[in-house]
Amino acid sequence: MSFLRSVAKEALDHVVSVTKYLCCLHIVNTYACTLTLVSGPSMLPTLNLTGDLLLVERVSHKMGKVRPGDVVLVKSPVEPRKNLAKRVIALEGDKVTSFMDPLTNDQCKTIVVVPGGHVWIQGDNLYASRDSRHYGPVPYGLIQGKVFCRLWPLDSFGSLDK
Amino acid sequence: MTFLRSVAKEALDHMVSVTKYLCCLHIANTYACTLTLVSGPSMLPTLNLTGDLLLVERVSHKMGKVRPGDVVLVKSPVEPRKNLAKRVIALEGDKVTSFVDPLTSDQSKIIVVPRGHVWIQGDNLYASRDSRHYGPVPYGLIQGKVFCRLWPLDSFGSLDK
Repeated sequence: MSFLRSVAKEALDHVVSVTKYLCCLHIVNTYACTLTLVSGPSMLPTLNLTGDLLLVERVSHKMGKVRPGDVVLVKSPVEPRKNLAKRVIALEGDKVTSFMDPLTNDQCKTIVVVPGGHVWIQGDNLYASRDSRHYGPVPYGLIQGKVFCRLWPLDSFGSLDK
Repeated sequence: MTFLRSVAKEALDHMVSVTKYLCCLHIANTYACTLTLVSGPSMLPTLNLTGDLLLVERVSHKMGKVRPGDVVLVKSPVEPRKNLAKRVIALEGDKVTSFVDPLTSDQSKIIVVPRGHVWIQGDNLYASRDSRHYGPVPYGLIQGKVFCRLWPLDSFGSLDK
């Protein structure tokens, strides 16, 4: 009986220890940087169709240091459980001239001024991306982090600008 | 020398232990429930002007169980660092009749809440900036659902009292 009790106690100690380390790892994941796998055609040629493993840092957007040209991870405004990787085109107060669909329409849409607290995001592949041209500027609060490094595939390891 | 070393080691052990417990507390705060202090006139008479301590649970909105009538904590779409307490009036696909300004105009328009968005309003329509001003807000901005008031003590409990 005491043998079982000591085994159970040791198992419990291990579980508690592992839980504590997982909590610390989770804190790092939420506040420092995280890994994410993205796929899809909307950010070609910057990101691959079949999937890229990206390192996303979670500090810049909390300090307000998101700039036009950054690729960010953003919670989708139409599907709240999905995260998207898009490029920030304009910040609050900037004017954006958006073409609705370069294939079918040469008309300029009316020039949009990005409202306070919002950003304008677009995929690099304008022909296959649903973004702010379709659902308008997205609130800055939906940004989850800034992509700064690609880890996989290895032949395009490193910064996204290569 | 060894005395200092053992004191330093003990202090470090305590720090690591405290850090581990703070991490676990933080996880509970982020994924189970959290406390928040809200103030302002926009949710009178439900919430007080001078400040209420609210218990906010963080499970329902992740499971999609936010319903019209719920008071939610939501990240402001115009000031990303502020959280607001507002009431959910309509979910995606619902139609909302919104009066532009009840004081000066009888005009109203019918708006369909787009997919992935909710329509939020303060209970005090005359002193609240909400979806009537900045439109439906994305569901992803919801931080949690308010389910209990802890302070002031004379209105302790559910918000419906």
